[in-house]
Amino acid sequence: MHPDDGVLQALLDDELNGRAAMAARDHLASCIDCRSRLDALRADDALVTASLPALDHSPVSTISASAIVARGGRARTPVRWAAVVALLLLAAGAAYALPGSPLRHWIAALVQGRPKQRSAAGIAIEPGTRFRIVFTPPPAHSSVTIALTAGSMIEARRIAGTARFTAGLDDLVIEPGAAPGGGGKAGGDFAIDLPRTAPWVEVVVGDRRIFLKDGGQISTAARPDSLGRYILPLY
Amino acid sequence: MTPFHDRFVELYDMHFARVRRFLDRLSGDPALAADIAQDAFVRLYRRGSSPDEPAAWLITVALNLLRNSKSTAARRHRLLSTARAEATLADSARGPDELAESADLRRRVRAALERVPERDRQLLLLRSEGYRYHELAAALSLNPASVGVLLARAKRTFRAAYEGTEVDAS
Repeated sequence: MHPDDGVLQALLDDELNGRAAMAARDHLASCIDCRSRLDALRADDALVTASLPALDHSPVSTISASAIVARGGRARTPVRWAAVVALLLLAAGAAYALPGSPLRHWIAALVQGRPKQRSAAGIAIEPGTRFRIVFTPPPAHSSVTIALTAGSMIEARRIAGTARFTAGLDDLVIEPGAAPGGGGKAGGDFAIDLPRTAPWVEVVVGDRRIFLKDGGQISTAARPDSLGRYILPLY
Repeated sequence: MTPFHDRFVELYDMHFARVRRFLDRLSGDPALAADIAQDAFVRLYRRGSSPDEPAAWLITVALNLLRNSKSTAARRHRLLSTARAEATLADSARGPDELAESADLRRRVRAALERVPERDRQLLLLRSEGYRYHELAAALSLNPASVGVLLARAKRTFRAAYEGTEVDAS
């Protein structure tokens, strides 16, 4: 009887016990079909092994074991937490009362719901029910690659360098800024990943809509490439 | 120091890097991956003793944390690090063509991986970190006897997606 793919895969992964491995090898010695299946599995292994490192990012700063020990060893009793909260409230009250305290402005900004605005390489944001992404001002000599993904967040990135991302509840404004080495001209390429499940998302350049995802319907001037991505000029 | 302290440091050295890398590859978000790997190890330390299957325990906790993070309002939006933006500028020694090629390759691998069903994708990524079948079975609640066949299928699906062809669902 021919071993199934699971047995052959386990043989490749050195996961068969001695007896099962010997039986599989004996069979392979006399079965061309199974040898060719094993070769195919080996080729799949090689492709996966060679491909996955392309996904790796440089490790961001991480905590050491000793720091975790220090953090994990801290007592977190309700009494201690209550004391910490009370102390923070006292300090905040005192800071708010001080004449010219910046705390007043910060609180005012929070109450008014001022959107986050930061220069960054990109931003990830939940799409909500209707979402608008605006490039302003229209960047020269730039393009955006829009891909539909299985993720749950909209991710907008500048491929090289940073841009200013201003996120509101239902919109995202991208100000491209100067491209690296671009002599001060606003440019450079962008990538936007849209969740396939996002109900409604439009991408606008200035006041011109260049892309709309309405449920499963896509409206845009470009055709998708072989990977299903839309590459659109931004000027 | 507690008797668990030395064991914890040993587990950290043995597992932290691969848990972080697994989460990075799974989520595509290095900052999130680092956060969750750290949280998983903090929970391990607070547990105060080593689980029977520490590798599987850490992966199970990390996957639960990742699932929760997706529904946490606090993560409604995150600024992405330069590394997330395809790590392009970080390596100034590479020319624009090489950078574009690297970004394209990453997108292609990511797109192929996203075509692999979620559990199979996790299996594929965990196996690539060297986890043994019994650890994979324990972490993903699988029958150990079915790990080989699921892995073979996951790799076949990945290849088909990578090469731009659909796998026959049958």
